Amino acid sequence: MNPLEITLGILTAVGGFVDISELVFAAQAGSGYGYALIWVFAFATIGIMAMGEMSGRVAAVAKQPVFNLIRHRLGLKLGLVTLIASLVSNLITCAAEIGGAAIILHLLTGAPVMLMAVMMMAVLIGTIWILPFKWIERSYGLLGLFMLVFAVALIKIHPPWGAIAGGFVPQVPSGLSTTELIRFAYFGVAIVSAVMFPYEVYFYSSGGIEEGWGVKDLPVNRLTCIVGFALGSLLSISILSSSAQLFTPLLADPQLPGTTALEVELPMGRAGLLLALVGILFAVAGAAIETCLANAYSVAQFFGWEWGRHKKPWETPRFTLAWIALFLAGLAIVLTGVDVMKLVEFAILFSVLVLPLTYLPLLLLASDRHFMRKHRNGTLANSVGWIYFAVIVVAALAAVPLFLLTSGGQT
Amino acid sequence: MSPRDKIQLMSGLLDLPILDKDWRYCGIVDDIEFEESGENALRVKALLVGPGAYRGRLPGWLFSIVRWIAGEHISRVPWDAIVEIGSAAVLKVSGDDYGLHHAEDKARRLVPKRGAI
Amino acid sequence: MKLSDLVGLPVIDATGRRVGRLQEIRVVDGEAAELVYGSAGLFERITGRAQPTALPWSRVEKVGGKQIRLR
Repeated sequence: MNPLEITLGILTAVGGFVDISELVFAAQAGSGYGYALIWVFAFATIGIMAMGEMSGRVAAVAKQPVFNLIRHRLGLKLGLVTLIASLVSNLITCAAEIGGAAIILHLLTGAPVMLMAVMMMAVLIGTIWILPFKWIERSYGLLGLFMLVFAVALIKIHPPWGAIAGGFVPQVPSGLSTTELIRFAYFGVAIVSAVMFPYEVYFYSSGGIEEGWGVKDLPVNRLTCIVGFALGSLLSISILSSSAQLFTPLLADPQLPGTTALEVELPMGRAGLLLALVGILFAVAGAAIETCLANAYSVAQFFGWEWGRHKKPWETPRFTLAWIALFLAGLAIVLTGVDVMKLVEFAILFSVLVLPLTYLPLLLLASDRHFMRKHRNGTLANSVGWIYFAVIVVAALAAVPLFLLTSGGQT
Repeated sequence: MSPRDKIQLMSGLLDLPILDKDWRYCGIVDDIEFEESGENALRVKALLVGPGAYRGRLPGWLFSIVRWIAGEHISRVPWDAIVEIGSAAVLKVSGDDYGLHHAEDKARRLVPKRGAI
Repeated sequence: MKLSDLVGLPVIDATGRRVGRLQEIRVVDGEAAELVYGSAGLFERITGRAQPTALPWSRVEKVGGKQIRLR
């Protein structure tokens, strides 16, 4: 692969890293706890780097789609339970992304949110229909790079860099009441869930097969995951840090994605605000595409249908009908009028519950000698993989109690 | 490998993609049917393809969900229709002979054939 | 009789002792030639740590609906 392709791949990963959940939680983490949650972002990013690399490697070496392998390894019943759980979780996430994008469009145009949701739907369906796979992912990822204004804005406000660096050290702020401590823990779990969303692994792995990856692509896969996700994570952290600087003193709670964009208006004016909103729009819309396609991939692969955007839509009719139906289902959820922030919270909750089921087969497949031959997990990949699996299991067990105790982070 | 060689059913045939003689994709092996061929001897009779093959393997409510998503059709591909087993099971006839393309063809009628780059 | 009916069935030896569960059937020219069973639980099966035993199919005395009896 030539340097241009590699660069575009990395940039796509950066622009596509942030979705509505990461945006909202980064801003709220900053305003609520200053820099104290930065280390959780960094920690979770290492996790998604490891899982992303594994899923790309499985696609390149085993050359079989993830859900086929899941069904084969776990058996029919457990495979089906995994499928249904991830369908529900990804669908809620998709609805949250569609809702978030609709809100941004409303802020940009003044048009009613519901109308914008329907319009967004039409555009997304059109995108997937018309464009070949590589350009679907790439167009939204690259346009999401407008969010780099958040990093620029952060630099312009001259934040306490020492304090930000200190945020990378694992810590729990001192002097918190029990209620605040529980909310802090909830935020920790939410950030882990948002950064490691299950759809990412399914989309990335199936995308690798769409692009015909082979063993020679393994180094690029590693590079994209490590550099791309690291830079994407730094972008999230700059959103968090700006929020910490600007919103804590003002005690403005950045509940809405639009409020987060204000972080940029303060140092950079109207132009900065517009760039931020456009960047968020494309990143979130891209995430809507990824969640929807991840679900369509899963269903098609599990049941043995023809699948993939490397083929024309009419060559894979059941797959095509699946992703259209899934988009419409996501839109239907948004049109019920449920608050997008509630959707984000449910997306986070369901995803963290599904994460152990998602990652277990991946870990087993990546270390399977029969499928992976000499490219199976080495000691490092296995150690990191199983440590993060343990972390996810703990997070999944803690999620529901924390959610209930904090009424979804509202206390 | 030819079907005459030693084949591992669970790890080497179940869930395998199926290709017909025109190299058209025909789904994946969902189950394998046996017939008795003598005293305690079992012989592979057919490959079962389609979500209908899950009936009886899943609790009723779970199969209802499957039926809603994927339908309940089932096709039987006789053992002697297979000419090769490796990274896919290759048939010596067209998949249409066993209704393997039926569901996909039905869905194809709903999908317009234009507009994609 | 289907593969899904057979895999996972308990395998009983001639003395009536349960020696494991059926994990794999190997066929030659379409005829069942070998069975593989292992004394593994769900965890071992999923992680691939099962220690299986292979026997020629001629050792099978009866394939019942609930179990497989060996000679």
